[in-house]
Amino acid sequence: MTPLAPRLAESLNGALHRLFAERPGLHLLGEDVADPYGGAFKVTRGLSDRHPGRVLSTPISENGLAGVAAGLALAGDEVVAEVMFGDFAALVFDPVLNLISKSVTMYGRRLPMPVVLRCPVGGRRGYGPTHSQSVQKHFVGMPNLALYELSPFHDPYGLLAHALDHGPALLFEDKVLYTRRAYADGVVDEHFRSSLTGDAPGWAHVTPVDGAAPDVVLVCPGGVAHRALAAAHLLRERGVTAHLLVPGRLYPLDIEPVLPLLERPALVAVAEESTAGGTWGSDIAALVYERLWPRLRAPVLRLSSADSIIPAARHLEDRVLLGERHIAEAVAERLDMLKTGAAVVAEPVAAPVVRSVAEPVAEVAAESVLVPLAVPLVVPKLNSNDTHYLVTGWLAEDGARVEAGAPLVELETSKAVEEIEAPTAGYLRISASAGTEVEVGAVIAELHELAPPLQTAAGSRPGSEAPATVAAYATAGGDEPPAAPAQAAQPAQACPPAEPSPADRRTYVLDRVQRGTAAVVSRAHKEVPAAFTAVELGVDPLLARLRLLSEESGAEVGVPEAVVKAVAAAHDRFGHLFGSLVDERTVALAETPHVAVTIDAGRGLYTPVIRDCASRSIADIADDLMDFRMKAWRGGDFTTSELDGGTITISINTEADVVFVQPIVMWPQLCMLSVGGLRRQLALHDGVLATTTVVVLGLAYDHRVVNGAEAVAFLRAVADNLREPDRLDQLVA
Amino acid sequence: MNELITLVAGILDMPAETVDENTGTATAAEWSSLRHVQIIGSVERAYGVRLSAREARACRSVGALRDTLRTRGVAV
Repeated sequence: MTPLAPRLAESLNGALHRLFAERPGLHLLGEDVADPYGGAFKVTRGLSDRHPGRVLSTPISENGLAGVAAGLALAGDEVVAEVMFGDFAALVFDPVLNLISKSVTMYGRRLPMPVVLRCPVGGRRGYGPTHSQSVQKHFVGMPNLALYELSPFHDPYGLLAHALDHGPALLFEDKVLYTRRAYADGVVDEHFRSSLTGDAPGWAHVTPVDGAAPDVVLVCPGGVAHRALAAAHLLRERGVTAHLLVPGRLYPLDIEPVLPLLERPALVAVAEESTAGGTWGSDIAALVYERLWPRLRAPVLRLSSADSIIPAARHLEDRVLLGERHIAEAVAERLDMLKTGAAVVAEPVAAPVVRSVAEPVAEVAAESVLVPLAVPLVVPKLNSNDTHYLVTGWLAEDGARVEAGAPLVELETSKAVEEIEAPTAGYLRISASAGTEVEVGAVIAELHELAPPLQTAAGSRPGSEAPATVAAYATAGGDEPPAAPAQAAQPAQACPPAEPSPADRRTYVLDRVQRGTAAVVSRAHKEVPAAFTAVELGVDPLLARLRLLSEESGAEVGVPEAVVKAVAAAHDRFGHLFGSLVDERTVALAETPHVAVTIDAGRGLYTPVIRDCASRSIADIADDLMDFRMKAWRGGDFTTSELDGGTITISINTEADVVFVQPIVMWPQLCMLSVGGLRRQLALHDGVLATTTVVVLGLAYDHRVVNGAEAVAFLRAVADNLREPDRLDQLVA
Repeated sequence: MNELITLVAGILDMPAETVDENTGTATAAEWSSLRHVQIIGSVERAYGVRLSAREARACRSVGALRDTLRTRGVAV
C-alpha cells in the first residue's frame, strides 16, 4: 500500500527543517513562530527547539520584521520570514519595495538578498475581509523581486530553496492547501496525471490520463489548482477536455516552456482568486496575445473573484470567491459561443456576481406576465453553529404591505428565536411557510413594489423557491435548486406538521427549545469523537468557604459559581482546551475564558455564557448565573449575545443522588465539564473514618485535540483550585 | 403570613409545619439552586414583582425573602 503523501503544511515544515540543517546562516522570523506555538498554521513547528537562536518570534510589526530580515541579508545571512496572514503583506510593502528588492542593485554592485517572505493567502476558510485576500498582484513587476506560490504539484523544499537562491522573494501559500496532500509521482486521480515541465521550479502540466488534446487550458496559480482540477472534472462530464498549467514561480514569468501547449486548445483561460485588475493573470493574457496572436483561436478568458470584500460567513464567501463551478460554467459558455460562431467581444473579466440582500434582483421568471421588481428576503447567518433554521412564524400576512424595518418573520436557531426585519418596504410574498426548515441564504419571501396577485399555498409562482424546493435543495446538498417548475410548484405538504394531529395522539412533538437542543447535540454526536474521564474531590472546605462568603456578602454563592471560576482559572495552563477546531489540524485558541453553563429550570435547556470569568469576582459570576437562571425559568428570554461565544461549557447537575454526568461536547468547543451532586460518604482521614462531602467532576473532550492525560491534568487543576486552601482564597477574592 | 411559607414548602416538597423563617439554603438540603430559582420565580409571579439577580441571591431564607418583598412594598 502506497503511503499517503504528507499534507502541504507538513511538507513546508519538513522543507524548513531541511534548509535549517543545510544552511547554518539561515534564520527564521515571524510572529509566534517559536515553539510550542510554531506559527499560526504550525509550519514552523519544532524549528526553535532544534535551532535555538536562529528562530525569533518578533513583535507584531510586519514592517519591523521585514526590516530586520533585510538587515540580516545585507549582513550575509539568509532569512525566511513568516507574515502571519498575507493580508498583512501590505505592511511589508515599503521594506520590500524600497529596501529588500532595491538593495540587490542599488549599491553599485549586485548584492545577494536571500530573503523569503512567506505569505499565507486566500479565503474559503471563513476568516473575513482582512484575513482572506490574495495579494499577489500587488507585488508583480517589482525589479529583483521573485514571486512563488505553493502548489500541490511542486515540492515545497524546491520552491523555498529556489526562492532563497534567486531571491529576494515572496512565497504565497494558499491556506486551503495546508491541509491538502501533495500529488506524488505524477498521480492526481483516476482521470488526471501531472508532470513538470521547464526549468526549476517549472510548470505542472495536468492532463487526462489518456493524453487527450485539450479543448481548454486552464492556467492558474497553485492556490486555485484544486478548483481548476474540479472544474476540469465538471467539464469532462460535458465532454470538454481540460488541461491545467500551474507555475511554481509567478514572477519573473517564464512562459516559454508552455507556449506550445497554449497554441493547441480552442481556449486559454486564466483563473486566479484575487479580484480583477492589474493581476498576474492579466500579464499571462498579455504575454499569450503577444507571443501567440497569429495562432490564437479565441480571446483569453480571465477569471477572478468578485469585486467585493470577502465576507466572513462561509455561504457568502462562496458567492464572492472564484469557485470550480464558476470556472466550469464560464469555460463551457465561452466554448459554446465559439462553437456557434457567436461574436466574442473584448471580454470583461468574468467573476462571480455578488448580490446584496438589500439590492433588488431583477430576475424575471419564465412567465409570460411581467413580474415587478422584488427584493428577496434571504435567510441571514444568525450564529456560527447552524446552517438551517426553523421558520417559527410570520409576523405579517402574505400579501400585506410592510414598511422597511418592520418585523417580518421569526427564525429559530439552535439557541434562540430571532426576529428578521423587512429590508425595504413592499408587498410581502411569502415562499416559506411557518414550520419550514430553511437554509442560510435561502429566499423565504419577496417584497414586491406592486401588490402581486395572491396565489394558493406556499408554492407561489413557478420558478420561485417554494418551501419544498428549499428542503430538497438542502437535503441534496447540491449547488442548484431543482429546476423543474412542476416540482418547484409543489406546495408545502412535504413539510412535517408542527403539531400532532388529533387523530394521532400517540405522537409527541418536541417544543422549539428541545428541537434546538436536539440539533446541537445531534451535530456534536456526529462530529465529535468524544472521550470521557472523571475525578472525585472532597468539597467540605469549599462548602465552608462558600457559606462564609454567602453570609458575609448576604447573597448566596454556590458550588456552580465556584466551579465556573475554577475552570476559568485553569485557562492559563490549558488554553487549548478552551479552543475550537478550525479544521482537522488547527485549533483556534480563545484569548479569554468565556464559560457557558447548562441551565434547565424545568422549561428547556439553555447554555448562556458567562464572560471574562477569569478576571471577574465570584460574586459577579454569581449575579450572572442567577440572572440566567431566572431567564431560563421565565421561558428563555435570552439574547443571542448571551448564548454565543462560549469557549467551554459546564454541565451543572448538582441535584442530590446524581453521581456523575457524562456530557456531550458542544461542537465546535472541545470540552464540556460536568458537576455532579454533592454526596456524603465515609472516608479515611489520617487513618480515621470520617464523613466527607464529595462531588464528581467529569470531562467530555474531543479526542482529536485532547488526550486522556491532558484531560485528567485539567480536571486535577480544576479540582485543586476548589480544594487547595490558598487557591480557594484566590477563588473567592 | 403563612402564604409565603406554604408557597416555599410546596416547592421544597416539605411539610409546611417544618418550614419557618430560618428555613433556607444553610438549613434545608432541599433548598438547592434549582429550587431557589423556582422559589424566586413563583414569588415573582405570586406577588407581581421582579427581583434583580442580586436580590434573588440575597433571598437565602424565608425570612430574607420576606424582608426583600417588604422592601418592595409587598405586604407579606
